[in-house]
Amino acid sequence: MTQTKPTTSPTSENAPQGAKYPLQWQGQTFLVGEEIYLRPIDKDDAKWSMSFRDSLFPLSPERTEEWITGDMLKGEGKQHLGIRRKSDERVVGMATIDRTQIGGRWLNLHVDPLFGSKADVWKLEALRMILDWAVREQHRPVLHTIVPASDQSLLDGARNLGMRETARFREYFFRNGQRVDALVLEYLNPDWVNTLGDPNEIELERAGSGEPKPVSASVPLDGDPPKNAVMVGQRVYLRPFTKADAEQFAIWSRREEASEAGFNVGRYMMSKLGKWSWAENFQKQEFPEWIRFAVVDRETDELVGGNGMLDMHYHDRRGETESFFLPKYRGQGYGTEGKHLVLDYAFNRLDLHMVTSWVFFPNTRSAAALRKQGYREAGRINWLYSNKGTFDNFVVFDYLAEEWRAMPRR
Amino acid sequence: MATTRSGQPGTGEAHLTSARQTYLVGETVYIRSVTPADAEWASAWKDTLFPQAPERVRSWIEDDFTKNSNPYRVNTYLIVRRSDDRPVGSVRTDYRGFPHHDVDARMDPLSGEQGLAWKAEALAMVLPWIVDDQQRPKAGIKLPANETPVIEAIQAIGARETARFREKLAAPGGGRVDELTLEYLNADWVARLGDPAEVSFPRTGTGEPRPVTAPIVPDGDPPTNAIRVGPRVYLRAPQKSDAEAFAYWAAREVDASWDNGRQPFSVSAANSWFEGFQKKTPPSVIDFAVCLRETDEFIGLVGVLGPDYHHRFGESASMIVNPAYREAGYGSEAKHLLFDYVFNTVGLHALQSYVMFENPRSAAALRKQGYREAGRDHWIMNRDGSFVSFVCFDLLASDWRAMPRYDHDTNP
Repeated sequence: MTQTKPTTSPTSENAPQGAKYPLQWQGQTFLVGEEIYLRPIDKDDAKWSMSFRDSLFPLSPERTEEWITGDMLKGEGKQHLGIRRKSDERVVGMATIDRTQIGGRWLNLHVDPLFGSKADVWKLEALRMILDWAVREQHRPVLHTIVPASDQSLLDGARNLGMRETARFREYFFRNGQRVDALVLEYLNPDWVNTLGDPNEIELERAGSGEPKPVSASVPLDGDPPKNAVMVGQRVYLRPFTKADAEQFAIWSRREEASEAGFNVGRYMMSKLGKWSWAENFQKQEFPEWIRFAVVDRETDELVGGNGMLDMHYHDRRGETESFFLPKYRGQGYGTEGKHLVLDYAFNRLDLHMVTSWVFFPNTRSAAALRKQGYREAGRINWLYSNKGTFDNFVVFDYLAEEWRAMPRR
Repeated sequence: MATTRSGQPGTGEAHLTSARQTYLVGETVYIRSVTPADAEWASAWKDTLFPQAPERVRSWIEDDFTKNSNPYRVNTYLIVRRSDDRPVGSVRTDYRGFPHHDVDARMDPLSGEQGLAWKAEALAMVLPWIVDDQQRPKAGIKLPANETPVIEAIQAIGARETARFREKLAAPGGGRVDELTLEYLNADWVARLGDPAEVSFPRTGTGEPRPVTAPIVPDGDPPTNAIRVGPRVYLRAPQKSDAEAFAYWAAREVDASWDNGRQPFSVSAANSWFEGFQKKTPPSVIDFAVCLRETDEFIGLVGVLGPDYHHRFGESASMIVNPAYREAGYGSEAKHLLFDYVFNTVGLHALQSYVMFENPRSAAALRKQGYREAGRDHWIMNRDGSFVSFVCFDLLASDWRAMPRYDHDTNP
């Protein structure tokens, strides 16, 4: 805008008439395709609730209106774009776009499957518009999405749009009565590829032999189990994470040596209340999104670390395993024994079908440990954090229940 | 050797000492997380001008503070004296604006010169922690220009000044003091992208200020709910019908260049934005709807982001959402009505404004409105396979008052 003093007032030829500002595709200048267009979900869209909520369970328009004006608006940084049919303005799906630490984007696309083959066409059209807008126009470095391998038309279309498969998680989804692989697709901003190079050409550094070792399974108990134990192994047991554990974690987070902090990029300081508030929130949930255990030495009852599963999907019967151990207990097999107790819990108690795991590229030690525990490499997910003057990558793994059960036991 | 709060080594709670802490430990102070027990020292570290009892601070720590603290997003740490584990200040980190990571430090106002020495030591640890240890591209901090020991200490480790905002802060004891913007960049990212200080800022226009379009007193009744009235536009509080218009025009945006791309809005989101700020007194954003006098049509917004009612400054912002009214002086007229309101009614002493390097047109408009260039703020967003920088401006109330006014009689 420049400041001038015009002699005549401009007219607004396309200004709406009257007090109404109709939100429809005509006149929208971006995110408009052949058959569909995208615009944020609004209160009036609640009547199409089941076409865009991607819910297994029925949700009334009233409940969805509450969500739109409540939780959806509060979701900081997350965009919910309605996928709308141009012919009648009906909402047929939703694109949910989340941000990553470096300003990249994660996309989840859902179109009501009751539209049959039309849904495939609309999903692809939405993807094409989102790549152009969210990556190129908005200068984002990368966009990722996870697609069921059975969604062949979307996958073919995505490849034609320049997306690339970087990981395949086996039997990740439960769809139409079957297990279906998940493909992780990425779309890199060409300007950032010019600056940083193609991340897929960066080789993953490896440590260890990569050979799986026998499983240290949970053990039958001679006497009473340790107090409040959930799973018990030879040397360690798992029990619920407590407020006192949170305090210990907060203390340890200040005692990390730079050379030992390879599980993350740099050291982060936690507060005891913050850590406990985080853990307690998950324990309040009936089906927790994150299940966190304290790992405790059986002989001394001393806390040696924590492990568990995040990103829990009870319908797909999967989760992502994680662990963190006190420096003095690292490299002595506590982590592996604790991990097999988590896997035992995941597969035999919760009846999960598979788990995944993500490791920072520079953390070769944790990647080697996962291979020894029986995990298989599923690929990579590029450009998710800043490291040494570039955007760095994760190596990702998967592990099926049947594979873990078939592993030799100690 | 760390000691306990009582001065006796080894007898304190582990989380209240620097014992065995491996980083962020200096000669005289160290940095650690906040615990409920720190409530008793709140006057030394809590960022408030007003007295707060330990009981009040303790319940705040246990509730709001904990809910809103996250070392990967926004967090506050304590600066603690090593000799007796007494909190003497605090450091706030904000990681929400990649590649920029914001740092702010607050010392006990009663600690005087010694406080500045502690602040210097703390910041000289925190900036490299974020940038070198955690491998973030940039940490930025704003400091009063008279905090020489702090500025020198962080310059000694590689931080540098990039902007100076004149008279931005109220100086303790009276008067005003400039505020400096300093940055500490990751050397690997500089090697990768080049030094942003060497990137020149493109300019357009003459840079000459134009006369001010001053508010008027209308002949008849003022427009409904108006707060300032100009020759062609007036300002009023944004209302629900504006949210509909805002969403409508956002979907019809034709210019993707002034920000990083276009952004669609729902009516609910726009309405929630307007309502949210109006619910608070004083508001953390002061927004006005810009309306045409002739038709009452809503054409855009002007406002002040983050007004600081103590230091009496804020960041001005404007957006003419209906493209038919851009480049025709409506934005500048609305802006001068805003200046009149913030300087003469709210009593702000200074305004600042930021413009992306790639938007020289808006920068030219600011210069015409009387703003002066204050420097630059590097690496604020991703753009064109690199990090983009912003040029900074400031405008003092005294500058604006001294500007010539349009004569409405001879320049209708």
